[in-house]
Amino acid sequence: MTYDLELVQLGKTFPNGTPAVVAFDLRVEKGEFVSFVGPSGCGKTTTLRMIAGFEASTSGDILIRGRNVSDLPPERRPTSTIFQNFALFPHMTVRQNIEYGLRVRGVAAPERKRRVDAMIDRLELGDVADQRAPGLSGGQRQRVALARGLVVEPDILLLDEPLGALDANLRKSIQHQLKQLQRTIGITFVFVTHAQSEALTLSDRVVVMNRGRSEQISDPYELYTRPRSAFVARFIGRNTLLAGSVAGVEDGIATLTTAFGPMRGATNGAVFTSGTAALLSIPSEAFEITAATAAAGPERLRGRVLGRTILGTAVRLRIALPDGQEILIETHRDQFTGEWSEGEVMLTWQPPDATVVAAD
Amino acid sequence: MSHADATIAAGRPQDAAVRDRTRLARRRVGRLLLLTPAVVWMTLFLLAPIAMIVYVSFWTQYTFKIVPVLTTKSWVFFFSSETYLSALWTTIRLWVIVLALTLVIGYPVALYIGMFIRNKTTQTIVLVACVVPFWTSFLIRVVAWRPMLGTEGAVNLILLHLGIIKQPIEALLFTELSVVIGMTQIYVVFMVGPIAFMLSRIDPSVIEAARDLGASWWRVLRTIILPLSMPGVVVGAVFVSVMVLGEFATPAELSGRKVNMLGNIIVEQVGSLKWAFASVVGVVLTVLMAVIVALLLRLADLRREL
Repeated sequence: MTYDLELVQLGKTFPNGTPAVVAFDLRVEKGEFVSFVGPSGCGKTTTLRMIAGFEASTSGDILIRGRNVSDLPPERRPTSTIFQNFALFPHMTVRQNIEYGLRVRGVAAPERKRRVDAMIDRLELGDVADQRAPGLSGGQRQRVALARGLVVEPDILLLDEPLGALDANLRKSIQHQLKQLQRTIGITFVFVTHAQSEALTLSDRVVVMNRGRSEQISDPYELYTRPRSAFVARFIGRNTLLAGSVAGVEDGIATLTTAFGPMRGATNGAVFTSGTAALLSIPSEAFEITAATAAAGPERLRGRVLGRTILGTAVRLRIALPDGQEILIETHRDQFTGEWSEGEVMLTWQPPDATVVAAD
Repeated sequence: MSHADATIAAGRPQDAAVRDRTRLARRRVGRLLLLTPAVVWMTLFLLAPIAMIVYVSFWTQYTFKIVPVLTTKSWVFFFSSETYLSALWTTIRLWVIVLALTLVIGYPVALYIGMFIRNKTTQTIVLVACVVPFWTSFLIRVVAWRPMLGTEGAVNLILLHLGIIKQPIEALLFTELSVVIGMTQIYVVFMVGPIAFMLSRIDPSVIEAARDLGASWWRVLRTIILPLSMPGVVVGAVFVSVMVLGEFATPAELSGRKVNMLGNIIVEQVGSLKWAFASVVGVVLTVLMAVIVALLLRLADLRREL
């Protein structure tokens, strides 16, 4: 089968020898919404720019619908990019901006008008069609950028933090519109963001990148519940990490020897030999809070409540573990009773809800 | 806005509204005070002299004196003399040629500095290098062209030595060509500066966006870079035009007084105390500049771009 986008051992090393992207493998099916997420400098934007053709790769290949585009300049690749600042042409009206790609491709005037009109309708830009780009609001610019990129019917739409320049409220509603748009037109979206919530909300699959490498490629649920590396466990969600060494594995559940005694978590298919250093990653929502008087034992952590914040239906507790590590736990308001509001508590979890990852 | 102001004012006691108004007026007067020194200076040393020149151009000129009896004789003389009309024509012709050359030579340089040198420090260094010739005086720079362009000058010697020419090119010095070479060299930097500045302000992602949409480099240059740099071109063209139109030293030195621009006529007439006539040429030159600058400014909406 041919994929819409295939990255084969894609790599880039800067002239000064710094690796920006290392041996990146990815296959994206038609109509998929894939996000690259990671801290700044992780190589996500570089990878996107290599797919668009703005940056040359130094190793590996980029295939779009089976065709190797690695050596093609950006103007000959079947991709459209939505830039972080939208990069609208400031000396053109909204209509001229949208029309640009069709004009360049030599599409005849009647056909051009039909397609531009359809795109203006779809993105509700009729009111501003004859305005110049600099006078538009952030949301309008973003829609013009989308219209301009989509009107040429690219195989893949590349989005470089397109919501970063918008304010928080607008971002929420545009996230929704973006997902809707992608579903209706059915083309592949590759989306770069540093905001994990955006990646988790929008994507079919998320690629977590760190230091030029792809750490994990998973659907949002699996990524959130089953981190496969210490980096992902720290970066995605709100996990508590306990260091230890593997004492044994049984039925996919590993027992770790930690400073707080034996603790268990799921191996999630990873293979651990006894004695290897590992981390137990416990998602904040897996914790159950009980009174400190409960007996100590496996999967039990003593903690001291430092403070609490009422978030409406939820309550956020700031809890100090015996080793000084501070963790934040959100729990339902009903679970939270005054008994342990300021003092000692016992935290427990179900071993399958926690994940064991190799120490880094 | 004004309607809302009126409503608010009406809701208050009359005297308070009046007091507000006087306070506002006083504040506005205070701000205008900032302009006073400039206005006084310009009135005394620019507007008044211009008015004076217009006035003097209608005075009656005798061989060695001038009397304030109004007449159009000098004007009629200017527009019926072939010498002076040809100076007007030379001025316009040299302006067009030098403007075109500074644009053709300067734009690619500006493109290189503004678009391809992305490091701001390097950009500044290169732009400063462009103005190095200005560290010597104007006259020395003009005179220095003589040993370059003469029959036994550096250019001819090099071309002869390389076997490109058999005979020295005599047209290089004391011709209109030498004036064009000299003025283009001197003024091209005034074209490069403003264009490079505009180009360096173009967001690189706008150019990437155009390429992303399928535009070739040539197309990007034509449809994105050129229009976005227009304000720089206009500003550069205004600089070059004003300076070329007012020239007298370069044509005098490099043409051996064969090429006469309006500026040369003024110098000559002032030298022989023909004040009324010099004033006529001065007014013609000022009007010519004003028209040209006004036309140039219509080419780009500077208010929007700057």
